[in-house]
Amino acid sequence: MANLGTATILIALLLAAYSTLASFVGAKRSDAPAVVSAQRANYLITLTLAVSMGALVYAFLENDFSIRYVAENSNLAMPRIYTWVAFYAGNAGSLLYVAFALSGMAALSMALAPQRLGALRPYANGVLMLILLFFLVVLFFLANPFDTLERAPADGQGINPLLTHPGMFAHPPLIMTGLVAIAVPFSLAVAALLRGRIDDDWVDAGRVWGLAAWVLLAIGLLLGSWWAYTILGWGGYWAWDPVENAAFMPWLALTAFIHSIMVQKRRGMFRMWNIALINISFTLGAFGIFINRGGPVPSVHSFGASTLGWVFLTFLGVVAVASFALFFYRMAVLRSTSSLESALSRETAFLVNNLLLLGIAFVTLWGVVFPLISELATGRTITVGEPFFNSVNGPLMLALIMLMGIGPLLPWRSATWQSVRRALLVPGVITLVITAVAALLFRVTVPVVVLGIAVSTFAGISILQEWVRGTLARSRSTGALWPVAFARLIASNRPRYGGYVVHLAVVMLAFGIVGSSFYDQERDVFMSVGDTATIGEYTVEFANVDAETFADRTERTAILNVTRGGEDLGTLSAWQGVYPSFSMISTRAGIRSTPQEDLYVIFSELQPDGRTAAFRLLVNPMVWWMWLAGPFVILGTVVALWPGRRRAAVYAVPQPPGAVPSAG
Amino acid sequence: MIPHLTSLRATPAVALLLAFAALVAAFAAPANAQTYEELPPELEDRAQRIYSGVMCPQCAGQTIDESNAPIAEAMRTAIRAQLRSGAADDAIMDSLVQSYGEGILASPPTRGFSLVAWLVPPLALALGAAAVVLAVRGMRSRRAAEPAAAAAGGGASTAGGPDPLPFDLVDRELGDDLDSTGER
Repeated sequence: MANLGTATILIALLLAAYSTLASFVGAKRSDAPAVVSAQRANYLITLTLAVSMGALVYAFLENDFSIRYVAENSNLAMPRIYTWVAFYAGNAGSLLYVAFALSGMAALSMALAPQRLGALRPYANGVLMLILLFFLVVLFFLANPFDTLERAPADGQGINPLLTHPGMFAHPPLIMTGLVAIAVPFSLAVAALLRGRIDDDWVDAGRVWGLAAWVLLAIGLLLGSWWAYTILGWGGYWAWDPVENAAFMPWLALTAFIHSIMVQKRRGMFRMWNIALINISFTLGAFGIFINRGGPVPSVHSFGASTLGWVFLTFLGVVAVASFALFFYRMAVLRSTSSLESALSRETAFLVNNLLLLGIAFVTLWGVVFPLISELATGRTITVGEPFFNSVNGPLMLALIMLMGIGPLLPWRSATWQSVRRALLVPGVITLVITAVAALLFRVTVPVVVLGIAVSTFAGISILQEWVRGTLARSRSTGALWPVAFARLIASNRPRYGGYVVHLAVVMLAFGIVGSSFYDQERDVFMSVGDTATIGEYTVEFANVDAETFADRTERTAILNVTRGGEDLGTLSAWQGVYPSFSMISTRAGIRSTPQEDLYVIFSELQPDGRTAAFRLLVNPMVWWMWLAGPFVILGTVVALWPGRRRAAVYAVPQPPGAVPSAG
Repeated sequence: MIPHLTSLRATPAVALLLAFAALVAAFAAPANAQTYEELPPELEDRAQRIYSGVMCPQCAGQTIDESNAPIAEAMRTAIRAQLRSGAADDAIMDSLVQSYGEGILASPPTRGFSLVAWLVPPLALALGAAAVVLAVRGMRSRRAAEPAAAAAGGGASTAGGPDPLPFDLVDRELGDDLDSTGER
């Protein structure tokens, strides 16, 4: 297996080198066979790396501890189902996964690339293959997951218990895939720059792949929060940890990009800016990989941290310098085809959106790197943690949500203050009423929270207003029933209405964050079996504790009876696993989740008598809504990406198929 | 006992800190029952605020509010004891900085070089906002300079450039002009 794995990595490396070379040479000399062959090499790499992946999975399943990576990341006692998690629990395995994901994205994007891309395609393929080549070189020379040990140990070291959680099946691969997926729109933009003719050819495919990377990161981030919430045991879901930030920043830049690209698509503006944005996104993605794989900052994510930091730092530097050098070199070509008619227009709203999103990304980046700057400048270590990010990014996020309510009401080109006032009136009044009622009903007195509720409600209502108005107008003019009219409304402009669905998800997130950050209650208690404790309106009785011993761990489950005001709410089980070989306790919270609030119980420490334990009890309002946001994000993205016939028909006019040089 | 790999590195510093924590715990909490003794609500609020501003020295990236590590536990206990004896929040923070260095604070202090951490974000935002204003002005003045092109539909300045897409057609086709101006 080790030989097969190493061989396939080497083959993939050679193929990537060939494909890079053939792409660029073929593109320069308009050599169609070379370009086609380069693209086929691209597809072949995906197959080759799939074999590599299979070889490593097989080695895990066979407990082949002669392979160092397998010995370090699994053991005989590990449940087979966690093989997949163990696969990317360490450095080399995760790099193999990253290379495979990148190669898959590269193959898919080239295979699905519309003919319209035409002459851009070989350049994009070349850029993708060059990036892939980097990862394969690292994989082959510096972090080969198939390195063997001279003497195979009898048993492996095992998987980090924190990773044995359902969220781990999807969170790391989604984040890693999302980060490398940015390479696709990036390669399209670079292809446009390299070719030197900057028309809007790259925009459609760039937007689609930008959205794809965006949604992968979004879901990955949400799943990571869910994992942290259920397993890290502090009742929170986001800690502004450097590695979280590292995935968050490219996501923010991509969010700016998928908005701004619409302006280019619709109005032919922001051409330079969009290319700059995707450069920033990919550079931040490279920064993310650098932080994640052996970065210089301590983090909860220090799983399999490595000495490869300098390699990824170099990669980051090359990406940043090369992409922006090319950008400035070609800047003169990137002229907009139209100009701004009015400062009060949706175009301007998109610019402000970009400013805020990049502002948040910058603050986050600043917070990650400032400790290093401080250490260099003063020699003292300082921490930039949650309070900093919350107090600096909080207002920016509020402003962003506010803009989410206003922006969609602004028409393209130009608006009058009068029309804006009219559009804002209804949502404004409804918002005031709802906020006042909510504040009185739940006795909300903290000004920031009142503001948060008002702004989020406003954004939500303004989206609903758009839907209601559009549906009513359509139903009036066509006589269709409301559901039909609504469906046609959505179908009439999928990017826009899909975006609104995602905006609704953001409103849900905002409510969840505001509710749980400001109104959480927390108590640490000791209870013996039979004792009760109260938190908020809940009474929790420690009913029993079950223990079960496995080869590598002892699992204990505390059973708790929950009542509220005499009403029986059933039982909660809070779990902990004691892993002697890791000298750690992993906990899993017992959570009773309702739209109003979560009751959250962590079973942290059992006394030697086996009957007395430490618990942390929390009541977290509205966290439920945050997890609901996930499906809405996916739904909205699917709506926005759903291929429409109309667009293709429009674009067919200026691009006769015969004019496009085919690239296979 | 602590769910973090990094906390397992048995460096001398960690050992010292652990010893210190044990000492603090021994003095502040002779019995478990008292570890969780409730503070009066007003003190409890202050305690929570302090916890979320203090890092757990062993657990990467977690505050003592979040961490279940023994040292976080011990530090919480010590802070409670200090609060009960009437210490001011600032005094508690200062004593923590004395023992552990500035890195113990979850956010940079607003003095000395660390002030830079707080000043740069607003400056950067102001610069960004200025750039947006300039960009909007620039794009509008270009429009003034090309009245003919603008009059032709706000779109097609074809001079020299590649053939632009018929954006008006796109707009109409997608019904966006209708939605955003006609019906409102």
